[in-house]
Amino acid sequence: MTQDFRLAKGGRVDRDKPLRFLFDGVAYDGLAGDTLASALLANGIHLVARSFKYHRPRGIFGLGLEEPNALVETGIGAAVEPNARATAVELADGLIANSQNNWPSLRFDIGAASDLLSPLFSAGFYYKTFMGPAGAWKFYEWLIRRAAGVGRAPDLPDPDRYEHSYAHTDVLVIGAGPAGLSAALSAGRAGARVLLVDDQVEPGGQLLNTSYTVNGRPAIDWVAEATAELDRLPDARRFARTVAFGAYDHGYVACVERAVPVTQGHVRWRERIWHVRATEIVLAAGAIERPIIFDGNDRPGTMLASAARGYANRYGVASGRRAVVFANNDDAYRSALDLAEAGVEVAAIVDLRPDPSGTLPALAREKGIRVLSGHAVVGTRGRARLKAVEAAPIDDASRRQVIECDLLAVSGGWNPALHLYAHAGGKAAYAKALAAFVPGTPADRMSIVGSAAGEFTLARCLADGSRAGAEAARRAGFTASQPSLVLDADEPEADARIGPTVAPSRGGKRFVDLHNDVTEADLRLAVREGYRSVEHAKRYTTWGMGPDQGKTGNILGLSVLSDALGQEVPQVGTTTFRPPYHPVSFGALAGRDTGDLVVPLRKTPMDSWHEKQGALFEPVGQWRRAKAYPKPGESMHHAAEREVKAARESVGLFDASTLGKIDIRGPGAAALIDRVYCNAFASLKPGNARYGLMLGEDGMLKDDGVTARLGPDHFHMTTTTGGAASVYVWIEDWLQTEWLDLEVYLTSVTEQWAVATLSGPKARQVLGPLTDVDLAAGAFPFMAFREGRVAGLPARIFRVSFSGDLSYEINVPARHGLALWEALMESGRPHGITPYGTEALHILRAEKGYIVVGHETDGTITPYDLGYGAMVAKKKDYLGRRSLTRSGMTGPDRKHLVGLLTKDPARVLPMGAQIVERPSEVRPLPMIGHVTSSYMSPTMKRGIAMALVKNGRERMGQTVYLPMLDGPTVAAEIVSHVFYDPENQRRDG
Amino acid sequence: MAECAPLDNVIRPGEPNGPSGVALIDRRFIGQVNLRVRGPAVAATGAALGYALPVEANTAVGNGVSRSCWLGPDEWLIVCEDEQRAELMQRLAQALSSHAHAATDVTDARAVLRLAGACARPVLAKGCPLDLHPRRLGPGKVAQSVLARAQIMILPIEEGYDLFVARSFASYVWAWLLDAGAEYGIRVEP
Repeated sequence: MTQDFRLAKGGRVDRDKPLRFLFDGVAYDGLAGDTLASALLANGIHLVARSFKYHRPRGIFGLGLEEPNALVETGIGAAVEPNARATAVELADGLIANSQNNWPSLRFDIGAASDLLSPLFSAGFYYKTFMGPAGAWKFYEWLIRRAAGVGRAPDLPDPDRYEHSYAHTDVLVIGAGPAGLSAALSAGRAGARVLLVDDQVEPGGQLLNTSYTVNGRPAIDWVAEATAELDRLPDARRFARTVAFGAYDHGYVACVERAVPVTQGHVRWRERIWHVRATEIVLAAGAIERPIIFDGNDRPGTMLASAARGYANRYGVASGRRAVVFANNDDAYRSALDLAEAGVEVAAIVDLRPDPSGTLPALAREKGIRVLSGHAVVGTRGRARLKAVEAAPIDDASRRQVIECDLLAVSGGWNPALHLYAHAGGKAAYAKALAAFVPGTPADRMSIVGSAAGEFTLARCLADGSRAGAEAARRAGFTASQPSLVLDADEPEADARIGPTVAPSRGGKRFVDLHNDVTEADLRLAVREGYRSVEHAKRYTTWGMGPDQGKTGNILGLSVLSDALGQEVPQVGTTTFRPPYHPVSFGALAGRDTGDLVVPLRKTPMDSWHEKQGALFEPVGQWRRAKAYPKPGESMHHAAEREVKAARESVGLFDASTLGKIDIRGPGAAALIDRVYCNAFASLKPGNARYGLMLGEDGMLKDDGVTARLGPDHFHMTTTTGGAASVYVWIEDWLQTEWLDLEVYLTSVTEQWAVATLSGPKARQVLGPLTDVDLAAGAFPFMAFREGRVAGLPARIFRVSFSGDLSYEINVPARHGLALWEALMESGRPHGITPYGTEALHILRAEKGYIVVGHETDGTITPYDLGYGAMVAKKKDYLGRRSLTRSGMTGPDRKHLVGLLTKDPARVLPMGAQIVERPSEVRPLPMIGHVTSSYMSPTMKRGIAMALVKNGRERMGQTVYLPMLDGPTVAAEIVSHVFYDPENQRRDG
Repeated sequence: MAECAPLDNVIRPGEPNGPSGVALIDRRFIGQVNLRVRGPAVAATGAALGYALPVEANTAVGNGVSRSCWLGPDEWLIVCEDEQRAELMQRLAQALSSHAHAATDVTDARAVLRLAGACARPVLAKGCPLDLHPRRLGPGKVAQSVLARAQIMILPIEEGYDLFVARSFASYVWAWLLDAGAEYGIRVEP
């Protein structure tokens, strides 16, 4: 289709680069440099959306992110992006865009019937209507979500990449308009690192949309020169297409950048979150033009005057053939003059002020534009497109005149964009002369300049920006002397007076918040119903709560509330701006935290061997550990059973590399160990190891493990896999803050050592041929440590056991882990050596009655509860000792660790099952404990379980009951938790 | 450091083999000794190393044989060639024989990945929240931080960084760097 509304000349579009795009299935042409909105307007399309609640036809209203109406869906399939502002979608060849929230079509939308019922849908409609019956809300919600709303998110995986990056800067400048650009330039000249972010494709801000001059030349030339100089500075960076959406503590500002659209193929990334850390922030976010409340103010063809001016100046597009400008301020005359200059017939300027008489109104009159002063627009005509407006004197609605037009450009003054200032903690102050909020209290590290500060003249924007940039650089520590910017902005003087923002009503629909379909009547109703607080009125009516966050409607609503409450605006107060300034996609927030990159997968030095063997893995913290090594056709349980049998009857091999390991050295090392374990360690001789119980300050078991004394002042402590980091930090904390008397040094060596555990009666035969260490029981007894070589590798061997059978834990430097493992497998081949995983490990240790911290403990279990009372030292002091003497730490209410044998030996109890004294149909039953570990024991050939049971040691031989969720109650006998080799003959042999 | 925009090295249509702005190199084994000493032992260590241990936070000094990285008020990581490690351990043991100390060989505990080239900084900046500007983190400095979800020690080199990462995290960090570097045309070098 032809671009009938494209002006013959002007604009920053590239007339040599036509682009074709689809809107609602119809192909249109636009130009490089267009937004979707400007391209649609060039084709005479205003109607692009149906409104949120009433499905009213809506047209393009704004020029950028402030757009409340023109929300469209872009892309197809999985790449659909709902709720894109047509005004912020960069046109690309082949762009596919569709209107949303209508059925069957944009032009004929059945949902618009709700507009006829709108008296029913007043403020608080949901609260008043959907009150019952109970449970019916689910249906109502489904209905409401279908009828009302915005776009739909695609339910396919997002095919695009989203990135994150950190950026640090001395001075962050938000907004590349005249104030921001001059701030960035003067900060950069001072030598500061500068980052300039702006949501537009090119810098310039309002200078792109207007016809100002600087130093006698078009302002846009100055923009080009300033940008070029900035780009030459070594430490200045400029992000275009980047929205600063949130300002947080300590100069942290979150921004999102969208990629340059490509016409072919995929962009490498679609959006990038920039985590910016700034020493100083200059907020030059500009201002957003305010609409006026009048009857029929949502008719397509109605738009902000600044938008109509921008479409003409920046995109070479006439938003209509014949325009009426509805104004309450002088700046609207600039819009009118620019429209006239572009060739749009300006039928009239309807000015709410009784006597517009400054330079600009005079200029307009000179150009032959009719000015209706003291008038208001009191109605609009047309359905899906404006055909005429009705204007009348403010004080006499009967003297109505109808002015035919297809464009109504509305200007109610300007609102500084103070959202990020509010995020940073600033409290705005009301400036009555501007009918707007301006910066009040200081905000952390932030200076606000230009029209964001309520300074609306170009000269002030340039001068204040330049000064603010230099000052920000100075505060950040940069004082290099610099030539100051000398800029002369020539502009006709504007009359600063602002008229009312509300036109007289004749009973028509008057929207305050176009996005959420909130009318003036809704707000007045809210006040009548008692919602007098601004925050309550907001939530009751949903005014300002849409995705646009009230960018155009906020201040209008305040003036309505002010009138309804009979209070001045400052007394009414304001709602609070919170991040994000502009909606941010979930994809952008997630970034590359997707797939395998979400959580690190820690691998042991032998991991590749396990993987080659087809091991089943299980996550343990961030580690992946081999759970079992099933043979083809074997289930995990069968594999574990086979592995347990091998470790009991011949020999098994286990990868224990994940165990936490801490090297502890220094003259105070022995004293330290004695303080962190509740059992005695001072007597431990070099070359020996001991199992230690570590309590928290609360006396509860925190961690456990074997610690070996390598030398008089040198220990090797092992911790649980999960406790490795926390135990290290905890002991370091004690050393640094409380135990300054001890000279001890900790070094984490978890990752330095690969650990392979040989376990089973044949372990000695497997290790013997590989090592120079004497393995004879007398020479190397249980709980001893030896250093030597294994398979030619330097090794530390600990004779400890977590299975209850003869066992050696062999440590070698991690680079040799795989070689050690393969050598052991080779040496064990004649003995049927079998690698075993964590499932078999758990069965083996449960058979032997060994605890696992986190299974048999849960932060409320003392050593006494576990039956380890005899280990607890009586004389020395240790962490948790005092807590153990508290009342309640002993007595019949404590739970004890016991074993459970089900009456039916084939039965395996579920872990976590609750235990009761006697079965009953009456629920709830008093619970006396729970199952902590439970397995089918290949060695005992029956189900075994460990449990914590109230006063359990006094209940030996008692039958207890375990009610099941999915079947009859199970009976079990309380027994010792050591099922296998209670005399330790196999372990110590 | 040459400037490098995020899309400088994106392969564009008609340009199937765009330039690569960054290389990833697995340095395999770099000798690492974790040293913890206080008081007079600090000077004794300096005598053994041939240079004084750095006492300013987050700095690194060295000579042709070793480089010592400040990790804390009483903790350093001494980095050398893998082959030099045994001798270094021995020299430290001798020099510190009359001082309480802990010199622990942790060579195998960490992988060292080198990120080199003009785009090394923007790649690292995708996952490390520190200020990587050469003014803050150039040669002579060292930093302990995170990269995505892994702890790292960063040792800047002339144009790039040596990243020290716990051995078990190495494959995750490797995959993360290749993914993050994709937009800069990252290549793996021997």
